[in-house]
Amino acid sequence: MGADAIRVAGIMPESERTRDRDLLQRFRAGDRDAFTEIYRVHHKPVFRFALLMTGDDTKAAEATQDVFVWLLHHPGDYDPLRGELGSFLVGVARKQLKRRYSEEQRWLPLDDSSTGSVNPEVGMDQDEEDVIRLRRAIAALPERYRAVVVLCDLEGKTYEQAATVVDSAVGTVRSRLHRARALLARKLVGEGSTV
Amino acid sequence: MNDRLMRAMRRLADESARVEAPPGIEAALLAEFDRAGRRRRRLSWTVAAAAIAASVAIVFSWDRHPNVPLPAPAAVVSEDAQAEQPFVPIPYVAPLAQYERAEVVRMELPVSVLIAAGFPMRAEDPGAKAEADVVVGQDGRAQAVRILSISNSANSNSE
Repeated sequence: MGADAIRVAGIMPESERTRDRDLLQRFRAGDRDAFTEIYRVHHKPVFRFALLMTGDDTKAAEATQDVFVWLLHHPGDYDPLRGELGSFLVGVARKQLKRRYSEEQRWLPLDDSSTGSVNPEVGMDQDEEDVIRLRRAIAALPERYRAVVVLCDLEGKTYEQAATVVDSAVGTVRSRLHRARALLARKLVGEGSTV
Repeated sequence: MNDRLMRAMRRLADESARVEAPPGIEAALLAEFDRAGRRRRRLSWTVAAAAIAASVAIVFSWDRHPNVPLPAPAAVVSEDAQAEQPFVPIPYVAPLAQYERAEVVRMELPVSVLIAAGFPMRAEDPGAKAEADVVVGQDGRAQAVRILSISNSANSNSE
């Protein structure tokens, strides 16, 4: 794919870094427009990440709102030396989702029908079926694998950016991604009728 | 990555790139931004009020804490020693809740207030000022005071 090409595209131009620095400075000084602009620039990747991690629109919207409310109340907590603002915010989203997930684990559903699994429909071509299977397989991955697949393969982040989000070393991201892709390929091939 | 997985991954990436967050989030965040701004402005006003409240509270607290160690009069205490000075809790103020944040605000208090409260200080320089850290809760109330140093009025004027 794509994956390598996307990773190249994931590198942030200097102009965007400068823009983020400027926006953040103005936001910290109380500029409402700067905060609005930060939201408009960065909310989509945060929402997409939350949606791909949870598979639930409502949860993704709540998580996105939580991330920016958190930023609003902790304007000084982002350190530009530790990575880009976009990656940092996605990292905040991940932590929020993990906390939310661990809270939800205390309230287990009574059966598996509520897990939101999607079955391929009659008349679909194999590519469409594969997307549905892939979505389901990603949702079934352990969180540490799911996060790197979403970040690197679906969101086009570089290994370095993904490492910032998951707060791990680049080597850890690589090995998790390798393992996750192997699991997904096995799932896809194992469930599909043909390869 | 095998071709089939790669293809499915690309399609899923394309699909998810088109999703949009609900439009209501931005409006909710801006409302929260405005609320936070109002809270900050209220806090800055109440910090100023807290300085006055702290001065008055010291008068009351001295009667209840007569053995609190104090810095030497007319002396500037070193940074390390400053950190070791105890905070004197201000009586009749509801204690901070566990989730509540507090800020430590450094301010100057007139020594005349301390003298009136019975602090052992020389009376010949009533214009001197005491530098103090005041713990201010989220609601702007002063919770505790720590006296750091005393400077006489001649020093204050020369600065």
